[in-house]
Amino acid sequence: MILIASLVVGLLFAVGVRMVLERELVRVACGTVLITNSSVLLILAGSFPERGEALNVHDGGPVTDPVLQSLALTAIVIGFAVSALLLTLVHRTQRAHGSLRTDRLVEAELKRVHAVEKEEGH
Amino acid sequence: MPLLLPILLALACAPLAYVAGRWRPGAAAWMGALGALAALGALVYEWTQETTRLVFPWAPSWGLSLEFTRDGLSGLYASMALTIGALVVLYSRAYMPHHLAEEQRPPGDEVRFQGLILAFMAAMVLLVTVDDLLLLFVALDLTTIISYLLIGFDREDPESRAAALLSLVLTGATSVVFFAGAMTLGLQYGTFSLPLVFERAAQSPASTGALVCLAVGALGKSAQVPFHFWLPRAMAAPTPVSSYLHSAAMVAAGVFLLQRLYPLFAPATDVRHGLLVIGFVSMGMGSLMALVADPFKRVLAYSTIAQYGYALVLVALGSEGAPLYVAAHAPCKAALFLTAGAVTQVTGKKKLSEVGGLRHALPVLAGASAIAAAGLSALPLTVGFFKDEVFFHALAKEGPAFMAAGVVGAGLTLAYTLRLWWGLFGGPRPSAPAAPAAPPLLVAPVVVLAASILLGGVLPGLLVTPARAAAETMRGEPSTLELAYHLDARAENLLAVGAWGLGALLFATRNAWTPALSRVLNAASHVGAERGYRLLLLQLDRLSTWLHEKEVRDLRDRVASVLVPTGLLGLTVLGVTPLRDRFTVGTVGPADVTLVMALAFASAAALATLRAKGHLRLVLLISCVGFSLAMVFAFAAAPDVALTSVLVETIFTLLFAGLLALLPRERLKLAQDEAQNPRGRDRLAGAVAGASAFLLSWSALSHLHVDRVGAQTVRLAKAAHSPNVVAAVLTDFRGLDTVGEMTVVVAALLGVTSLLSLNLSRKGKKQ
Amino acid sequence: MISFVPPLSRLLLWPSLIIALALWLKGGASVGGGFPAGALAGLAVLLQYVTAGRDQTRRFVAVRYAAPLAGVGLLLVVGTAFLPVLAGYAPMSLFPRPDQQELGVGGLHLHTALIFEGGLMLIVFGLVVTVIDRFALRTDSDAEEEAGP
Repeated sequence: MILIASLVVGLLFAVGVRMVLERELVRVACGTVLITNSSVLLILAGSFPERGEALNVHDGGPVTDPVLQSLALTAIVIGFAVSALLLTLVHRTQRAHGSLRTDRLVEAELKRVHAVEKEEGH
Repeated sequence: MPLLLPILLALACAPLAYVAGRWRPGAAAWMGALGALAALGALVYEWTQETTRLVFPWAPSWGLSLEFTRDGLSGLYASMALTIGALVVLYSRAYMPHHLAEEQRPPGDEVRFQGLILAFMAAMVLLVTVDDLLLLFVALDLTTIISYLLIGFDREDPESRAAALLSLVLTGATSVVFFAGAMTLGLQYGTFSLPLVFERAAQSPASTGALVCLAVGALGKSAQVPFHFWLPRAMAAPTPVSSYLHSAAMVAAGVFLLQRLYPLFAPATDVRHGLLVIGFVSMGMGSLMALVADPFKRVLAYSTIAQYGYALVLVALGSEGAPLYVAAHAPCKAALFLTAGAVTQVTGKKKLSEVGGLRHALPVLAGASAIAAAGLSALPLTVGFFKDEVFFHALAKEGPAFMAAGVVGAGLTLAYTLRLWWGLFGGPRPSAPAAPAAPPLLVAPVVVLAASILLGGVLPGLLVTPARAAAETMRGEPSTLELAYHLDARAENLLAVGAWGLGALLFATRNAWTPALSRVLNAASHVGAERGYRLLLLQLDRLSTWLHEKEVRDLRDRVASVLVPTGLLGLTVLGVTPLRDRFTVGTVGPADVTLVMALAFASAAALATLRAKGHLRLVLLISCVGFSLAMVFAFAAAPDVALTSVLVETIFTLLFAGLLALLPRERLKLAQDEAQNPRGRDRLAGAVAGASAFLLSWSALSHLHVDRVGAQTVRLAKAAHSPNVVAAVLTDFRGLDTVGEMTVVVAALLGVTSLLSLNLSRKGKKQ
Repeated sequence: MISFVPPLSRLLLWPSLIIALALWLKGGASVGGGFPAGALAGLAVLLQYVTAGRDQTRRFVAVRYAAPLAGVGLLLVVGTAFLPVLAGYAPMSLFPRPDQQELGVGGLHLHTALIFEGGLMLIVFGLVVTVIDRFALRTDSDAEEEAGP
């Protein structure tokens, strides 16, 4: 079980990194979501070996570690807030630069930097 | 508590002055000066009290505390900073309106200026009063930052901006070096508290490296060779700044640090010899430059470098006159700076070659500044006489070579001071129409300073007590310093007479050697430290541009350059850590089948995202991953997490779909078509990061402690009146974490709001 | 096909809000709490945005002032956490204290944790609704812009 859970964590992380390294901003956002998911899974995987009964909680029985549960809960909510911010950033970037591709953005930024430097030079 | 009263009063000055300035601009200076005098009164009162130290524990487990002291050094330097601060603020009341009008700035900025000066004064008082290494560094940096704002006060003027930046970089960089030294000492002795450090240093001397670091910090502040060149440039600041920062306060801070830390330097003869050499070099170079400089503020700046060279020599020799030297020099230099500012304001000229004969137009100023000049060049009946007496006294013990150097230095001082005063006030009456009289408030501070110089010269007994107290603090042993006039042929007197003779001779023959000297110094300035500094900055600038272009060329490389080394680091750590039974596979029972199936579903969806072509499909696959994970959480008996996860995932999917609706369709299509060419190294980076994450999490999950906190929380939940243990953990046991987390969420909310409304307003402008 | 969706979704608003309230109030005793409650309430509003449109949904006061509501939520959270400090307790002390009797009727118990959870709920609700509202606003204006020039 430990091996399987950590394999899935590694897989989600790898796919997430791979997508973050894409050129296109929507995919970058998707990648960060996957990375968030993998970390939530890792947190909760700590309780897999001695978890409680699914959908059947009764007194005295085994309980899933509540600390890990609350940590996962926190991670989910923060992950959501940050992803929402990221989505608006994607949107805003597209409005400002008219492109969804990071290399285009860099070109635009470098161009602007050079223009500013020229202006200061004069 | 009375120990903190002067600091608190000094800290209150700037806000009080600001408030008064809001009411009426002219009131700010008076308010500030009043506050400074009140702080001075509190300082005197504090000396009648018993307590000499105050310690606030800060982080006791790390041995950190905030410590303040009341001793000779702090008393001497704080009263110096407060007195001259009050006078300079009053002077600025008369000086700044004219200056601001010339710079075409609103007259209200005067209040800002005075606020900054007062804030600097407070930082200075703090610096001299604190008694631990960390606070010393903090106060030192406070003075640096405020001095940056003050030197760059004429922000429209590129020259003064550059000067401010130069002084910030130099004094800031050297104070970082000081910090390194302080940290080394703190680690060596296990404490930052100065008395404890001194006590432990008596057993095991401080390391030379740490002492050199401390000395570099002090030298940078005191504008000694090779960090001297920021000071002349800083003369671009308004004159009150030069007069305060570059006579009594900021430059004095460096020498003060050395005096405060002298018990550490006392056994390190090598370091002290190095300081001695630097002191003599600064003395000679500053004096020579002062002899040929034309703008009169520059003459004074070079003279400051030279004078602090004297003070450095005194510290390096361990002389008990070092604190007295700084204290005697400060009023003389401040008065001369204020004179220079007054002359510039009245005549509009800044160079010696453009003015002359002003004694007819400004008789009071001429008289007062003559006393200040006499004090600077150590003529009898002024307090300056005693600064040279202690200097010669220290040199006479060291031998004839030192005495000769001292005589030359003092002679040069007299020569350039005479040149300065004569250039301003002497000479024939100018043919141009007489300059208007200076406002009384512009002259009064100079007169007050001159009066104090005379008072100290006529009644030297007044100075003995504070000078001895400061010397005792510095050297940690009783001081026998005596100040009196002796009319006999002792070495000090002979040396002083020799220096006067040399100075007078140099002044009389100045026309013969000035052109040659200025040619030589001009040539020498091409190979000086300033040039090295410029070259260094240029190269650093180039390096940073190169790196930036390289880094920014492709954002993906930037991300990969963080992730891949981190992944490799994780793998290395796993490789070298000797953990027995590093990995356990775990068991899969019949109860785990549902869990494994849900996990498999999540993995399949994640893998499928790599192949997804359309954006909508991509988003649906991502939400698929999220929902399968929610399923996992449900099977793992974490219903709260599962519920929240399902809800959040739903909202998120809808939002993402909304985003896709917002983005222009043709651009999305374009991006889709172009996106499908992953590079080999991206795959590699993903694989390295994934493998590292996998192994790290496997290792972590294999080493779960048997005794969990979770069990405790389950037991305690009853007491927290919360049958739902997860809720109890969230709201009670880890409630503060939840508070912090909520601020993150609110910050994200603010970010979303501002990003999108920004967009709106920009569009509004377009229309 | 389309015709029954909007009325149905309008019917769903109040029940889902009530369930959200229940999740909040029962959070201390069973599954629930501030996070899911806020998310569910946000989801209910999101449904209204999708079916009824922005203008219709903004008739509700809570939707118009979602961002300030989140601010109120933060105040509640911080207040519950740090007001006890003024009375000499450690930060994040909840009342009634462990050794005190709690007041309650049936499944509902009065506890300052409820206020805390209410703050969490308001913050999450505010975040969700604000993001939705901004996105909806952009969709409307983008449509206008594309139609305009």
